[in-house]
Parts: sequence; structure tokens; C-alpha cells
Amino acid sequence: MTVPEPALSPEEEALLAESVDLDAEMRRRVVLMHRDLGRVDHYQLLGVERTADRKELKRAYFELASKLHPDKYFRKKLGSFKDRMEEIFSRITIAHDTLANKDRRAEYDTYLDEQRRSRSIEDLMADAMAEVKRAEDLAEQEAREAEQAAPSPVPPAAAGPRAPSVDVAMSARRDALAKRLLGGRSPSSPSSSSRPSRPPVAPAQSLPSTGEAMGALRRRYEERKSMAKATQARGYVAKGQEALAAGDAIAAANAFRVAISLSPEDPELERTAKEAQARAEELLAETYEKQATYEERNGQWTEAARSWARVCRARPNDDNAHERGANAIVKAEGDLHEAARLAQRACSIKPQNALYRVTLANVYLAAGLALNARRELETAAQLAPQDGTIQAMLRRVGKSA
Amino acid sequence: MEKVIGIDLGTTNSCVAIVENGVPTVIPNRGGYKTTPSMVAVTEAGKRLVGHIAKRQAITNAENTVYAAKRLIGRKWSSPQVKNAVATSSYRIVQGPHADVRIVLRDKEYGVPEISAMVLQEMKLIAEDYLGESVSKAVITVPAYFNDNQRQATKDAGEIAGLDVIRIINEPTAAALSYGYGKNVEKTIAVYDFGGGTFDISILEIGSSGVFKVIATAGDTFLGGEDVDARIIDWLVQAFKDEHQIDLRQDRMALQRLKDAAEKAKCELSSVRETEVNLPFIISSGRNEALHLQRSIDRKTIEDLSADLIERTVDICRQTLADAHLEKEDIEEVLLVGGMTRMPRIQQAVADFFEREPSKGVHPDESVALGAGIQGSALIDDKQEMVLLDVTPHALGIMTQGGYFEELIPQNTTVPTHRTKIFTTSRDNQTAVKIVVMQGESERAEDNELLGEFILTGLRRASKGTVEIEVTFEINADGIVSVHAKDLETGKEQSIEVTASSGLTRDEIKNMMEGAKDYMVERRSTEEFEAAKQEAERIVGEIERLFPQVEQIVAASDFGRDAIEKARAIVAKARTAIGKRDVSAVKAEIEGLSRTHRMFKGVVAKTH
Repeated sequence: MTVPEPALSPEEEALLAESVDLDAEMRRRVVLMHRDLGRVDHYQLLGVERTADRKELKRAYFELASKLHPDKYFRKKLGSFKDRMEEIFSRITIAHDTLANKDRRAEYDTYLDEQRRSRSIEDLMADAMAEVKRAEDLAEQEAREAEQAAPSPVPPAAAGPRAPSVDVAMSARRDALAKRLLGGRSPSSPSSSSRPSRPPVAPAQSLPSTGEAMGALRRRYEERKSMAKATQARGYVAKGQEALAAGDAIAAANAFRVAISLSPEDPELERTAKEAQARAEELLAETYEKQATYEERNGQWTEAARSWARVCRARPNDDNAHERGANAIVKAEGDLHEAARLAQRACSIKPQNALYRVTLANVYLAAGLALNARRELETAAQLAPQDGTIQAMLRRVGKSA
Repeated sequence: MEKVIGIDLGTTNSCVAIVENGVPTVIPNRGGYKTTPSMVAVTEAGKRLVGHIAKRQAITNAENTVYAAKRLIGRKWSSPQVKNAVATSSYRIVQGPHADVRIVLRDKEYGVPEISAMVLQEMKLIAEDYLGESVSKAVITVPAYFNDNQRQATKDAGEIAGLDVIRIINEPTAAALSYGYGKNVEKTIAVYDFGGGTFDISILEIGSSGVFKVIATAGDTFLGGEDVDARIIDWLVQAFKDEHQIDLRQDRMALQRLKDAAEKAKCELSSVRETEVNLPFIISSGRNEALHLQRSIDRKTIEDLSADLIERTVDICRQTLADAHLEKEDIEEVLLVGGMTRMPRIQQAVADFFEREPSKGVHPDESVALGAGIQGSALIDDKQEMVLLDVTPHALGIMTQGGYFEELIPQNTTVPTHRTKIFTTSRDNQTAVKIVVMQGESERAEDNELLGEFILTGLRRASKGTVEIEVTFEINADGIVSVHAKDLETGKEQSIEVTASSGLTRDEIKNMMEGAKDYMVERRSTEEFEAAKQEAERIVGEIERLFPQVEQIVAASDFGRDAIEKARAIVAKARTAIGKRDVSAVKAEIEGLSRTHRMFKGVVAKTH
């Protein structure tokens, strides 16, 4: 069995103190395994490689089962460990049974791949946020370096003026700084002349106030920064187009996303970025749809509801995803408001679909809203007058309403 | 460490085994047989007979001799199998007070578990005689396809017999245990178990670490050797009817003789190609003329008669493999269990289907009891490296609105397992909900077996759908189902537990236990008396043999005459005690008798 870290939290350590007919090592093992049930996949749980063959699986499972089956402790005192052990046993059995069956294992592997895929897409997308931050930092650094290359170095505190301070000492320091920068030393510095975009430094010569001096300084700095940003944005656009050409929608979306954050006033770029983002979201939706389908088949309704929700986010017009999402929530005994919202959306996309009405009715029934359910069922019955199930449901609702 | 016996409670024969010093052993009965007929009879004098003695008198006491009670155990009166048994059995079957089944013997009604308990008690006695100590713990086997009511009824039978049934296990699984025990093999095996009353097929994986995992199991609880017997009886009855225009079924005694003859012919035809059924004076012609049944039957005939039954077993095998997602070539060994597998045609059918010769590694009559013994010892003995991972043979679920069955735990799920479902109220101010628990594979609730229903009360008054009840369905390692309910709102666990019903109430079981205990006391005292009586009579015999000699030697003296008088008095007293069936009095006389005997021997020896 794979145990990420064999350390126990103080609460878990406390569990070991219970007086049961298990030796200390076994108690620790049970607590650890039980703690990790939620985070490990079937392979990790059994402690086998993903390439393990049936024999290896069986051996690993049998080894665990021979230690954890309740019969090993027949009529012994197990206290709270009994439930924990039964749960572990139940999980290792599911893991083995799934992996021992060729078809089910293939399905599960695909599911794991999809899970990994969506996780890496999400990681990549999260990376894009970091990338935006990095790009901005870089632009700032470049602007700063440009200033430094000039005779008036801008200390890192240059951003300071943006926050007017009541701190007297601080303001005094700022004044001193401005004097030193603009008047105190070679005021006729040629540095600014090299930058045609910069306003002439002339005002500085006529006794500039510290405010004006700071403003000018800030403007120059901002300009440099925005130039650096624009250069970087162009680089990201190129990167994005390259990724698009290579068919890597995620990388493209990320690149455009960084580009647009660096260069927010470009409508053309904004459109491209949006398209790329939509394409990436769709990819994510596709993998979530596959996961949801697997989860539905295996009765993991809570997980399925979550996966469908992700699909719906990317595809606001996918009636099927909304309907199935609603259904999964009902099955998982989840948030019925959300279920109703999804089912209503499905109905409004395809108002003529009787099945969607039935699902919505089921949501209402689960929420105890029999009248609403009845209304939907009546609509469904009009849409599909031959459907016996709808009739039966109507009779049932009729009775309880 | 306490000993645990393993009992194969069969339809026709039962067998008991134990693991002694790590060696599984079948315990023979007093007659030296390793199996005991699962037959119970009550004589005209009200005496209970179990096993071989019950079987020997079955023909003359057909109405009061129960065979194949296992086919009725845990079944409802209304079931088709019971209807069938009522029509074909020589003993009387009536409806019990809880829609269950009762058997009438000498005007007294017995619950089916009570009858099975008599057989179990006999097996317990066999073990106790062999071990020389009392035994209270047992593992009992049932057909894999038994439902929960049948399992519970079997457990109840054990309880009535004074046994702590620590586990019920499946027969084919037990056979696999006895096959794989101590072998350290890794194999996928199929167990084809065709017994007297039931057919089972189980597929298991035997692995390292002493683990036995059942992958799939299926069967038919009303398909067995008894059905083959019935076919032979039909065939004989029809032939007789054609010849004499008389229906032998009308006569219970004739029917019992036919049954015996059919079973005998079936067994013989496993080793010979042809045999004779010879039943003289089977019935009177009505013109006061005795008729005889005499017919030869060959192997081909019995094979034809049972062809469709055999085909049915093969179909079930095919289905089970498919359910287990296995191919024939995945099966590395096939075990044959149950008396029916002695039939050459069946061995052939199994070999043809699995494309492999079945193993000769297990004894068809003994391996199940041995496996039960092995499981018992594994549970009790920490040193035993063996774990059995069994499955639930039937899906478990509840009845939903409209009479549908909603499955919660699927068939062939490894136990122990549990599933939880949340129920809500469906009416405003509903303070109680009824949950109907069922077992089976049909979508329609009514086709499945009702395990029990319970009503959860004391719910808060609220609009419908607001009160939530969490219901947990659990199958423990025994394969026995229980259902717990919890009011999620209050978090209060309502300790309601539904267990299957054998058709007997707790009170009835308790009374039956008392009855069984009384019987044991009586039987023990009878045995004690018989032993004392035998001993006393033996010594009396010796004394009487020596009387003439001793009289000749000592008659001359007063002392001698006195001694002879005393000896006569002691013998007379012993005879009276025996006549009164007074155990303690007989035992008390034995000492005096022995003294007299020693004295007589001394006198004779001195003289010679």
C-alpha cells in the first residue's frame, strides 16, 4: 500500500490509544490507510504499478485482505477500528474487482487519464495566472532596468508615490529624493533626451515642486513599463499563434490570456484570447464529460454531479449536460436549488423535450414541491402523450399532492 | 481452545467434521458411516429416530418419516416448491401460523427448522461421542443459492439443537476450502455441486496468503438428485399403470418403497449399465391379488430421463461464467461435489462444458463438511492463515412505489459490505415510514423474496420531503443481512434491525430449544440406563453361569448357603431395578453384583 507520509497528526495519534485486540503496528496501519482512502486511486491503494498484471493485483489484494478481513479478528474487540477496517476492506475489494476485470480496468484507466488530464489543464490554466503576474513583474523590471541604465536610477521605492503618506519622515525622504534626482544633481542630464516620448525635463529647472517631479518620474516609468509590456505581449501573441498552429489549445489560451492582460486595450487580441479560452474550456469540458459518464455508470453520483457542473460551466447551451447534472445532484442528494437551476436551463434550451421535464419534476419531487412537479409532468405528458412512465408518475404525484 | 465442528446439513445425507491438530477429519457415526441420512421419524410409541434407524423403518412408517426437510426450510407456505412437496411427499405438510411450513408427525406439528435441528443434534452427538467432550460451536453449510430466510432458518435450527452457529458458509465454497487447504496454490477454480436437493456452481480464486475469494456463485435450490429420483418414480409408476391400470401414487407405502428403489437404482447405475427394480407385493389388485413390480432399467434410460436437468445445470454454469466475465480457459480446475456427480453422464457434461477433466481431489460426500470444519477452525484459531472472502448470492434492495425493486447491493458483491441510502417522507406530517427489504434479481418486487419490512416511527411532523432518514443496508461476513435506520435530523440512531425470518418466532425457537434439551436429557439418561443395564445383565449372566458349581462347593456349610441366598437376592434386586428402568438403582446394584461375581470366581478357582 502506498502511504504518502507515515506521519500521523495528533488526532490520529490519539486514535491509536484505543484499547483493542490489535497490535500497535496494525492500529497505525489501519489509521493511515483509512486516512488516505480519499486521496489514493485504486493502484495506489493496492500498492501496485499501473502496469500490474492480474496476478500481481490479486497477490496485492489477497495480502491486504488476509490482514484486514474482519474474520481475522472474529469475535475480537475492535472498537472503532472495526468500521475503519471494514471500510478499507470494502475499498480494496472495489479496487481489486475493478482492476481485475479487463473492460472495467480499461474504463477506469481512461477515467484516471481524464482526471489527470483535467487536473493538468486546470494546473496549466492556473499557471497562466502566475504567468500574467510574472510577465508584469518582468515588464516592471525592464522598465526599472531602463531607468537604471539612464543616469537617474529609479530605486525600487519608485512605486511609493502612488500611496500618499501622512508619514512626515517618509514625505521628507521623498522630497530629498526628488531634489537629488531632479535638481540636486546634474539637472541638465541628457538622459531624458534619448527618449523622445518623454516630455522635456525643462519644468524641473524652474524650481519644480516635489509633486510635479514625482509625477514626471512616474509617467516616465509607466511609459517604459507599458512599452516593455507591449513588447512582451507581442511575444505572447506569437507564442499563442504558434500553439494554435500546433493544436495545443491550452497553451494557446494561456499565451493569449497573458497577452491580453499585458495589452488590455487591443480588441482584436481580446477576441482571439476569448476564442482560445473557449476552446480550452471545451477541452476541459470534454474530459469532464467523460469522467461524469464513468462516475454515473459506477453510481458515484456526488462526483458525477461535480463533473457535470464543470461541463455546464464551459457549455452553457448544452441541454444534455444540464439535464444529467441535475439528475446526478438528485441522485447524490445534493443541492436541489442547483439541480433545479440546471434542469430549468435544460428545459429552456429544449422546451419540447419531455424527458427534461421529467427530470425537473424529479428535482421538485425530491425537494417536496409536488405542485411544481405536477406542472412539469403535465407539460411532459402533453409533449409525450404515449409515455406510460410519465402517466404513472402523474398518478403517483396526484395521489400524494 | 474450544473446538468447532463443521456440519454439512444435506438434503439426503449429513456429515460432520473437525480439524484436529491441523488435520481436517470426518467423524464417523456409531455405525461407522461417515454420512448420516438426514431423516427423522417418530415411532408409534412416540420415540424419535434420526439417521440410519429412521431410514430403515421409513417404508413401514412412511407417514411419520421426514426426508429432504431441507427443501422446505425457510420457505413460505405459498411458494411453488412447497406446493410441489405437499403433492409428492409421503409425510404430511401443513401451513404454519406465520405463513410458514409445518410437518405433522403423529399428530404433532413441527417447524421445519425443528426437524433439521434433530438432524443437527444427531451430528453434534456423533462429534461428542468421538471427541469425548461436549461441543457447542459449529459452522453449518447451506447451498450457495439459499436466500437469507433459508440461511436464517438454518441458523435457527442450529440454535434449537443447542449449537452456537458461528458461521453459515456456502457448500461449494466449503468444498473449495477442503480442496485448497494447506496447498498454497494460486488457481481459479469452479465448483460444480449437484447434491440431493440443490444445485450450485461457484467460481473461486485461491491465492497466496491463504485467501479464498468467491468471484461468482449461482444455482437452483430446487434441482437435485431428488428430482432425478422423481423422474425414475414417474417412469416406474407410468409403466405400472400401463400394465395394471393402477396408480401406485395412491398408496403412501408403495410410494415410499418406490422412492427407495428409485434412489437405489440411480446409485447403482453410476457403476453398472443395467439394474433391476424389484418390488414384490407392491400393491393389491383390488381383486385380492398381490401385484409385483419388476422392471429392469439401464443407464441410457436414466440419462434420458434426467437430460434436461443436466442441461439446466450446464446453462447455469454458462451464465455464471459470463457474470464473472471469465472464459472457460480461465478455469484452472473443476471440482465435483455432491452425490449426483457420481453419475457418469454428469461428469461427462461437466468435462464437455469446461473442456477439462474434473479434479478427483475432493470427496463428493465429505469435502463440504471438511471445509466447514476448516472455516470453523480458521475463525477460532489465530494461527490459521486462512481467510474466506465470500459473496452475496442475491441482490439486496427495497420495494419502491409501483411495486418495483430497487437494487442497493448487487449480486456477487464481496461481503462484508454496506450501502447507505437516504429516504425522505412523501406526505406532509408523516411520522412513520415503511421500508420493505427484499432479495432477488427480478425488477418486479413481487418476484423477489421478502426479507422483512420495518416501520420507522417518531419522525418530526413536517412538510413532505423535509425529514431525512438514512438507511444502511449491511451484509456481514455471515452473509446475513441487516438494515439500520437513522433519523438524520436528530442524529438519533433508531436501532431497528431487520433480519430474515425462518418462519419461527423467538418464543417458538425458545420452546423448541427447551424441547430439544429435554430430549437430550432423556436420551442421555436412556443411554446411561442402557449402558448400566447391559453391564448389570452381563454380570448377572456370569453369576448365573457359576451358580451350579458354587452351589455344589459351598452348599454344605451354613455360611455357604447364606452366601448363595444373598447372591440370589442381589440378582433379584438388580432385575427389579432394570425392570423399573431405574438408572441409579441399577448402578447401585452393579457393585454388589461385581462383588458376588468376584466371590463366586474365587470359590471356583480355589476348589480347582
